[in-house]
Amino acid sequence: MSNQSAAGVELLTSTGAVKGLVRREAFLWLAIGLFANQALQLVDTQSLQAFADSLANQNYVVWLAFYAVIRRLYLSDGAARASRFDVVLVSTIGVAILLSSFLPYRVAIGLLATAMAGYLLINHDGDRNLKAAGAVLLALSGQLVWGPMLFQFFTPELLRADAAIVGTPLTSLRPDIVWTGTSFLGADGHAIALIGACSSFNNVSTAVLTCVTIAMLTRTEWMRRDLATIAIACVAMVVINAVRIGLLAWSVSSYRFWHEGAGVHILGIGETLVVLLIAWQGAAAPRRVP
Amino acid sequence: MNKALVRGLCLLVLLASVVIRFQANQARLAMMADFDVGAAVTDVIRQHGYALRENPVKPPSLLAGVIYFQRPECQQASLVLPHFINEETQTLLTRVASPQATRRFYYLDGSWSYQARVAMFLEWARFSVLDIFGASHYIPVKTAIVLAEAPGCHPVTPIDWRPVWEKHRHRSAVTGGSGDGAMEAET
Repeated sequence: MSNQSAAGVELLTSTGAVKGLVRREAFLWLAIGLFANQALQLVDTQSLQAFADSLANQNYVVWLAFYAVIRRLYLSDGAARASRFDVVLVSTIGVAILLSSFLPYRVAIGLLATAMAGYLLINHDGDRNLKAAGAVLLALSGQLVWGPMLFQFFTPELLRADAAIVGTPLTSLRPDIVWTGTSFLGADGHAIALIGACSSFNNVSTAVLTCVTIAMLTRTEWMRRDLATIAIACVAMVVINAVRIGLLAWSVSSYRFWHEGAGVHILGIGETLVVLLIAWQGAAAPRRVP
Repeated sequence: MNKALVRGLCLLVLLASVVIRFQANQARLAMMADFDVGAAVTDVIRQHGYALRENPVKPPSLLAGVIYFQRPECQQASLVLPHFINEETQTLLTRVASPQATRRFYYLDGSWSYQARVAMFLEWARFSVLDIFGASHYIPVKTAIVLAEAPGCHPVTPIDWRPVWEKHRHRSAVTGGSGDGAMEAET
């Protein structure tokens, strides 16, 4: 079967069936297909109101990463012809995207994005833009599929870790708050229990994606300090989330403000700005000492 | 086949995938919106003839979702806590049930004496794939339930919780039917 497919593709290429198809265009089609399908998973299309609400609650770093991949692919060599392997890959993933659209979950698109990222990282043929696009796509698939999958299996452990980060300083500041496992109980009866959405794991995943995206938007090569930037961004996200959980456990009024009131937007915008600032600072060219 | 034809083919595949996914998403979102685990659990309890007990905790507390019911053979009320399959239930359970209470987790075709998150995820994956081909008789939502019963409570008749996720029961509930057909079909 695979021999037949390879022979078919060879025939296509040798007879000029895909004559003129350049790598850049082939990969751009694939990336647009992946992102168009992924975008549908990120927005709520049930009603106009739901659509507007879902737009307001988007993780815009993911959209920035979409843009970064498209931009890097667009800047790649526009003269390099698509090889037979490129054609096989693009055809296979294209058909897989079509078939996966029957499955309304983002897992399938994430897996296909991982496959494309792997191909770009391994088979870039010296084109740095393709390699950079592959790096962002890999970080993107980590955020969209591998991170949530890992979180699925280790939710209680990760929540206990988050609670431990908050619990020690919180109980020293407020000895009346009783910390047990993943829950905090105040003397006034106010109690909170951490669930999946409270975890800093998603923020850490977003921090990694932001740093990779910004770095690969500004240049196509990795620098040693990129690792430090990612580490700083991750720590910042964990600290902000710990402060948030502490505020939620503090009192009923604090909980209402930071969980249901304007505090939600303040924290959301604050987190985004902090991670973007760290990423931009890390991606900027290092100053040369004269 | 020239370049324009290849581009046309790519565009066609792209549009087709978007249209199909849009339809599939709409169907899934509608299914998720209609699925009310509290009502489904209540239906199953009522069909077994057990009396429901009021939950003193009100929303927005997570514990407001707990459903209490009384078995005649037990002195204390039993309870059902719906939860997402990857959610930590231990913390919540300790607040509503005694540490000695017996616990059993139910999700689709499976049941476990502990919160088997991986097994539940695999159950969800299995029925999600089957659902694509219309071969799943369950709604593949990621909501499981845990039943906690007082120590010393030995039920005469075990409850079959699978109808909670059954499409048949769900359709009957949405259209105002009794859902008895689903129970008969299952048992």
